[in-house]
Amino acid sequence: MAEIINIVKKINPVELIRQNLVIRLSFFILIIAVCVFLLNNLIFWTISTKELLQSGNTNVQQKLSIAIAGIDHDLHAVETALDNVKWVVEESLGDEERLYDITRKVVSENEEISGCAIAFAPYFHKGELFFSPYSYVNYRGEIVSKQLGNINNNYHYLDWYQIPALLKEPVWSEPYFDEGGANMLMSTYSLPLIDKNGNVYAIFTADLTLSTITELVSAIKPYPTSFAFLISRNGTFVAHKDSSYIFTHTVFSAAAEEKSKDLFDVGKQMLDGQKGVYTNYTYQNDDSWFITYGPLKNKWSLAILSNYDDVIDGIKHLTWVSLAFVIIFAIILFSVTRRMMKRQLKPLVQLSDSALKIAKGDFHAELPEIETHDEMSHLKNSFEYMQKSLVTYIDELKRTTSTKERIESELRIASDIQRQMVPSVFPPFPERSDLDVFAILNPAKEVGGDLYDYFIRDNKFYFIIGDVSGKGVPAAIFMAIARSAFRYVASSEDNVALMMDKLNDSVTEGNPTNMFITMFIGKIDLQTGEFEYCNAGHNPGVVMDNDGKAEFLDLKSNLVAGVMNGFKYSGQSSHVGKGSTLLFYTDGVTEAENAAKELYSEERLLSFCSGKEFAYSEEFITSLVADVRAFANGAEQNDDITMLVIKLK
Amino acid sequence: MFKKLFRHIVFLLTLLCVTVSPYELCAQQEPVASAGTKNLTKLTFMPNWLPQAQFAGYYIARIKGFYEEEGLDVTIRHLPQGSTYSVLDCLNEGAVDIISNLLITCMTGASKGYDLVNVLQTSQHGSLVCVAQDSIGRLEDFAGRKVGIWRSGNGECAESAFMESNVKVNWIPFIRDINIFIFKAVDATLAYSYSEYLELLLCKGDIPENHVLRFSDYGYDFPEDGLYVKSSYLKENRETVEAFVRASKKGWEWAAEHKEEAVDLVWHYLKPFQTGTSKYYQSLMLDEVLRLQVKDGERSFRTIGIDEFNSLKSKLLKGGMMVNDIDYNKFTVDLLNGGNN
Repeated sequence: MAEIINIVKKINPVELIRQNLVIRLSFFILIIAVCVFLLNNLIFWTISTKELLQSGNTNVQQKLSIAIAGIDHDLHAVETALDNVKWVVEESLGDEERLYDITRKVVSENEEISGCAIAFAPYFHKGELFFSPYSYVNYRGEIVSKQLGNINNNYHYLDWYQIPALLKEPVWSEPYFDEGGANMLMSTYSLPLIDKNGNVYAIFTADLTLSTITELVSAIKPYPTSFAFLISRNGTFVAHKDSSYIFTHTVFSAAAEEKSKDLFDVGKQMLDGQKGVYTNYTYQNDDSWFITYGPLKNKWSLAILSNYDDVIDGIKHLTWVSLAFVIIFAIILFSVTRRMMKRQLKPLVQLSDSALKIAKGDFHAELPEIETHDEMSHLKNSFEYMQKSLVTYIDELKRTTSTKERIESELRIASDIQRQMVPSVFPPFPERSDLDVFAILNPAKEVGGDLYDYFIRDNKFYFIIGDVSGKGVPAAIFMAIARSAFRYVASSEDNVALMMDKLNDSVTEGNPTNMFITMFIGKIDLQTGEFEYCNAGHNPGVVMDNDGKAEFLDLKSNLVAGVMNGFKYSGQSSHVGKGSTLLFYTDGVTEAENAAKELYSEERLLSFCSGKEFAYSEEFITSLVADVRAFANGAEQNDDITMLVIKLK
Repeated sequence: MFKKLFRHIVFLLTLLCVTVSPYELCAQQEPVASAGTKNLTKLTFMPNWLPQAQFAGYYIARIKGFYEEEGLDVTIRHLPQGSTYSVLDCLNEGAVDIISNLLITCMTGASKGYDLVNVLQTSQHGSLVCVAQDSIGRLEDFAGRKVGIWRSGNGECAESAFMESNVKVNWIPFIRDINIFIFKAVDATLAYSYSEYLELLLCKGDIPENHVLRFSDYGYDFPEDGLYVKSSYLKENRETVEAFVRASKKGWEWAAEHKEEAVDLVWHYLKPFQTGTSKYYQSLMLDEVLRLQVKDGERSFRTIGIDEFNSLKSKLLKGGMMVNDIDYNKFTVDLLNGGNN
């Protein structure tokens, strides 16, 4: 528990659950277990509550029935007492002494009766307006008799006389306080005595002290907060736990003061003589009450107010115990689950640590020992396999990287060598003012298969441009062979066609890879402008005159070099005047692609050259390279690009 | 021992009470202490019924000191329940100086020879109703029915109304009609809208409107409660009576303006009397009494008009409730406006 509190204090619980698998799994298990428990409790609580409420209702109804039976028994005893002596009264009419005796006997022989009267109708008894022999128990406990009626106590207009006289049926009076005695709450049972003509000649009464009944009502307490109240026929409270209600309030004035519609409705039903249960009764702003009510035989009504909380108090207690159990269970479950998970997932943590070490370069980090043969074991085996594969792979990678670095280094050297194989110092003939030469060679890879070369011999400018099939190292080697062969052949041969023949034979021999090379060899007499040339399948050069006119050089389509030994090439001749410019290039220029796979094309090249004005060859090449790059628009260069510009001045 | 002694003392005190005057036997002393100032003029006032909100204006004038402000030391006495003496008797024999009573009772009393002068008319409307067990439509529906009526009077309007319509009802006199009606011993009963009607309402929960017949709808919308003195007393104590009338009027006006507070004061005043009623009942009663004081939209406490006086007088003479004619100018004086009519 302390551990959990400490964890919660230190970090955000939500983050903890999110970041810690053990806690997350434990939490999920905990949630499921608690939900199951709570659901179980809810079902148990619902069913038990329903049963308890039913039995509670039954219990209260039984208590009510018993109380009503008890009160009715008291009332019945009084009624029976009068009924039993009614005939004696009828036989004693006119005999005052016997009539007094009857009232005395009724009081003395019936403990529950505190007073008895035989109140005669006006002028019935010996023509007297009032005659009412009355016996009662005085404050000393003695039975005292007197004549009740006189001018100041005209009983003929009192409820206990007037109502049964008018109705000609027995009634129980509304309760009243006996002002002459001990201020006791009383009710009088009035039995009208009727002659054979149907006229009421007397009212035979018995007074019942209600203290027994009110005590009985007060004692009704089926549940700790339950209480009962009794209302009379006109709705006045006869008994209530709040004594200020008694004889002050009717059920409806109380309902109005309490602003209780429920009490009003219950009051209507009670005064209507109904028996029933009023549920969800609101008492003191709490609607968890219910009222069980039923009528007495004197048309009063008894009600018991009980609270559902009391009825289900036992189950509530049990529910709290159960909830406490769930909390304790949840803590234990969380703790145990977390420990078990931690133990079970310990190899995972160790594997994680090992993986971290491996990631940091310790490829031989030790893996945890796993004794079980489950998913964890499979994971460890997979991890082990991965570790071994990784070691092998890394070794392989090291070797490969080393080789690659070596090759790259060699390639860089080869590239440098290749660059040095072609003239790279410009202007190459600074002493000559009649010739402006500039060239570039941009291989697509480290090394390329393009070549160019030139020199001046006997005031004649010899030059070559070529493109070996393929790219990379093989093409570079083939280019080197071709360049060396050119230097060798050109040093002793003046005829460009023969130069090409020899060059072809030279590169064809020992060419097991069947590579070939397109070449263009030219010779310009710098004095006369005579231009001899021989083409071996190379792109046609562009001739630009002083007027800005540009056109492709007329070329015979000879066979590419390196394919057929002994092939006889035929040369061509032309004339280039002062101010003319010759552009030679490889197909890396015209076949440069943009992102849409469109080619730069010879047409675009010719268009670029037409009307182009420039002072130096370098300026022209620089602008042409820029135009090609602009066309490619960032697309990767996929072929070597070589350009050679010769400007005669 | 002490219990026996106590019982003897109670018995002796009871005997003592019997030997003194009947008024002192029946009158109940008010619970508010008398002012006790020698300079104040003493005056005893008796309302015409048991302590209840029907007389709230007088209680409030007493409690709030309005009477003292007018230089009066007023004692309010009530008749006890079931008393055989009437307030008219008490006034006539000089036991009290001023009373409140119904106009119709005082007019019939005056015709019988009682010396009565109306000095203030608080009620402006008739409040008499007849509540029936079943629905009723007109006066004729009561022919032959058992209808409760006060044994001590107050039902004259109803008697006159039925007589005018030649409807013979079986009058059942009562002292209190609540239970004889609730027990269905009568088919209907008379009630005042501010008292018995409200009691019945609180006993039954509700009373359908078609179970109630209002006599004011049948030409009997006559004023009821007013203040009366003997002409001889008025002649000798005119300033005192005027002061009492002014203070009483002020009490009623205060009650109307502070109804909730007035109910609280009345309820507090009534507690010692143990009237067996609820505060809610008293509140309903005050509402109704105040409603009856308003005529043509204002609480004017106007004196009785000569036309309505003559109208009521002729009805009472015709019905036999009044035996002798009475003079309007002798019967009523408009003290609030400082002169005779």
